[in-house]
Amino acid sequence: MAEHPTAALDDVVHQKHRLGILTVAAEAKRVEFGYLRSTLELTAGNLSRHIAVLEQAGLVAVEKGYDGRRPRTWVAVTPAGRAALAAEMAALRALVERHVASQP
Amino acid sequence: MADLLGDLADLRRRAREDRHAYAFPLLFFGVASFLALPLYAPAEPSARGLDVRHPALLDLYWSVVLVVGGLATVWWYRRRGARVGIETSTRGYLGALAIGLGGPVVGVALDHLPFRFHSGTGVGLIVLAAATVLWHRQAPRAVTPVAAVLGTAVLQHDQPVIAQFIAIGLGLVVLAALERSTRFTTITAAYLVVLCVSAAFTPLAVPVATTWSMGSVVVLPGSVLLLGGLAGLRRG
Repeated sequence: MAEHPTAALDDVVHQKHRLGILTVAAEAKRVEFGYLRSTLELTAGNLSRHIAVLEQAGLVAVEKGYDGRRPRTWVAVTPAGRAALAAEMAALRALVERHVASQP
Repeated sequence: MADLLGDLADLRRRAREDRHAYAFPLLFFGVASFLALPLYAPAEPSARGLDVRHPALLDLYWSVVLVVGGLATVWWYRRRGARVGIETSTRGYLGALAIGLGGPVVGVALDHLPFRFHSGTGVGLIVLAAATVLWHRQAPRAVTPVAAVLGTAVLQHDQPVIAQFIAIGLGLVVLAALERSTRFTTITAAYLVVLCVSAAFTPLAVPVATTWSMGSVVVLPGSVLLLGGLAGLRRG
């Protein structure tokens, strides 16, 4: 019997905001902390915590620098992060398809 | 779950829109195309041939435009990325720029081949199509650039009058792939179609060559670049 799609969901990636961070970061070379905060409508503290979780799992790389005198933090998705995002999206789509197929 | 997928699709779309910066290269190369018109003055006012009066100056002009335009485009994308907070990788574009500029150098070697292609344009297009497939299939790192260099060189060698527009087109194809913008991809496709038309029908064959008849080669691709750039500006 085929494994249920929920088995493919990764707890680190599946959380809604972390999934959002990975989705946005995967669209670019790197994305700035402030952009993520405004796009995902998160507080700085909340976003920092989610980024720390993703960084610890090796799914994103964080780079700190300066734009003039302004400190800036950039987030880039790693190859492992890209693969994890692709797997998560595939699992989510499989779940939706399964749900649609089970409708009378 | 479907809502979540919809939200993620919206995020992806917004990130792509915020990365868009294609108006600058289109406008730059469009304006540069029309500024080149005076350099297409025929060798002799009554000449029927297709020689310009100052070929070295024309070559130099386009070399400078390609280098300055390419580097300015990279600068523009980086500047915009830093300002908006979402950065597009420009490595692929720099590679395309190098290939476009290196094409004529490789083309010199093609003159010394012991054979001639029946249709250099056909061979160039086939090799470039193969390079595109290799790029999409993520072939070994050295294979794709080699195919792209060879395809571009053969194409530019066979179509010397529009060689600079081939280099610009190569850069646009890479930028459109990096931006993942439907509008930019459409503009790039229109540019490539117009380039084929330009290769087939220009410079216009008129009884007495003029700057306008010789310069007709820049009008079609230059117009698409300008109009595409203006459309990109309007879009924001």
